[in-house]
Amino acid sequence: MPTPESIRNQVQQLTEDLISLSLCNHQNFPSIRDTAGHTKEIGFSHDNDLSIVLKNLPYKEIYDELERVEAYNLKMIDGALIQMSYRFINGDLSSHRLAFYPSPNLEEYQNNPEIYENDEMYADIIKKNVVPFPLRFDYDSREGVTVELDHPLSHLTLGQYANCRIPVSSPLTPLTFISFILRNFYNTAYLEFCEKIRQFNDAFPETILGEERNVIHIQVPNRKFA
Amino acid sequence: MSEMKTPIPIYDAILVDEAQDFPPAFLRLCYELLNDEKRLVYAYDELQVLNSQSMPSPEELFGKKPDGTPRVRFSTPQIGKPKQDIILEKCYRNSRPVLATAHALGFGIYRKSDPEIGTGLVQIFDQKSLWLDVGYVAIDGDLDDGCEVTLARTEESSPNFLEAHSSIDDLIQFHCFGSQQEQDEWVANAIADNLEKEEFLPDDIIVINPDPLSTRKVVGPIRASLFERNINTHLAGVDTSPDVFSNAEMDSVTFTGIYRAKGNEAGMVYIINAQDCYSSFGNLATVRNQLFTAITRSKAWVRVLGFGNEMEKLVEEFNQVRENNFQLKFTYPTSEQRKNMNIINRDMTDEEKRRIKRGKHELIGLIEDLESGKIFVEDLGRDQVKRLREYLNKEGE
Repeated sequence: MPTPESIRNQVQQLTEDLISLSLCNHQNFPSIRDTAGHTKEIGFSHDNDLSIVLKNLPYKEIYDELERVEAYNLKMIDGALIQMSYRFINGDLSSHRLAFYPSPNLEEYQNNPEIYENDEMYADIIKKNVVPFPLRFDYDSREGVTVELDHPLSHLTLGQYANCRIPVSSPLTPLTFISFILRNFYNTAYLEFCEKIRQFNDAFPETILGEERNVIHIQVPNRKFA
Repeated sequence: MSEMKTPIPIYDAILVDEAQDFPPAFLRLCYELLNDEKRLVYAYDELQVLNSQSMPSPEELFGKKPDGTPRVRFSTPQIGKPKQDIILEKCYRNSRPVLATAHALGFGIYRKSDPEIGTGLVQIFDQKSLWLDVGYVAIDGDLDDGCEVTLARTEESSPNFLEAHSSIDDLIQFHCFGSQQEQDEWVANAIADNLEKEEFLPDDIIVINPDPLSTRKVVGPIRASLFERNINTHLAGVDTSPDVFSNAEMDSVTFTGIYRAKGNEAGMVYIINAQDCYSSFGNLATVRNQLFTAITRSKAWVRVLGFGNEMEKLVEEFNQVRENNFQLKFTYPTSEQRKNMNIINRDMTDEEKRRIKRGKHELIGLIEDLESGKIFVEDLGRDQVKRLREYLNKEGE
């Protein structure tokens, strides 16, 4: 069962590894804070007010604001922003929010990797048929929030659709989340570098409920690396 | 521009900075977009042409009127009238040792002589007066073709306060390491010391990698090492906003490739992998210009770092600059030598490079076969030999 410190360390080490592999251009240090009620919050700089993500604004405006205030753990080479926050109460995971905000402007690395081998000044081509969209893995075990099937404890929201809550079998560790993002959205880099990213052995226990297994859902592997 | 039948003047005045980076057609476009007063001001640095295409004269740039006369010609300066061609001789950013080093390496003043040309120089002003214009005086010898000359910067052109704050050895340093890792470790330690012990702010430091193609990859390990030490860094220029060189909070050290570094400056400049600037087949002037540009980003201190054989040679060149007290002592190339220089050291396309390599290889093979008697001149066909002989004789004139 991961502890708050081990989660923070995972984020720190993953950040270091991604920097050294030249997959991110800017990053912030992960933070761990003690708050009231035996709570520990793991987060990133400027995460105190993320209310803009809830507003009914065009995605570009939301992205631009997050980018402007540097509210992220990582800014990837194509401008995508990655946010990872965890809350532990009494040593147990209470909630997490793992978000991926691709840049609406820049080319996705996966579709045109060689552009990023050259100086960025010339990387102005936008692949027309790819649609960058934000996604979020949420976990919330608070009383009254979860509803079996309609609002699963752990779920995936795609494209900020309000009622998109695809059931997920358990909370995600930072490594599981980052691996998912790399494999699917930075596949070329993933294939080249997956050996160089440090592994972690821990995983969260399953939280998926009966009915949720009867619909399409996401199975998080319990073994080390996806 | 060829499609524009009647250009509509929309601007009263246009100011172009870093004009050496624009194709001449762009400046012509600006000219067309101006009203009759044609108030165009373009500022450029001859030596920062990273693709080695020299800035054409205004006569060339703006072409001719229907009657054949140039549309733009700068008149000789007259008293009471504003000058049209102004050269800024005083440098307010770089100190004398730093700027002289940049010039020495950019031109190849102390570079080992190329037997094909008879001088080590990579490129040089055709117009000798330009040296005076950019702030040098001939303190010995003659500034003339074939003559030995010693050029030095003056107190006027390089104010002393820019260098008085530090010893020369602190102002500019060259280091050759045994490997990439050694270099990377040194830089990370140096930056950590700057921030933790020497009162630098992250915003005061930039790290430049001259080769644009490798920048992203090579800076990774250094940045990771600094992150481990709680020092934040960023790679400039990938933002959607190209205006942002430092980050908003200025709490992050800037890493950058050479193109994004242009126009920016910092107190402490680290240049990594400088061995890439020593030499490059088909690219010599460009890589020397990259080094010039990188060094001249510094407002105070410069650390030029690299590893390997070519870095050793670069350090040797710098040592000569230092031994000559940051003066440029050399024999001014003759017009013939300058012509050769411009051909041999020109920037080549990839296609040209391939052709040259192939041609040289085949020619050497042919010569060896002939000399060893494996084949005879008579075997090559009388017409071909005649053509070749005529061509070589013509070139030799």
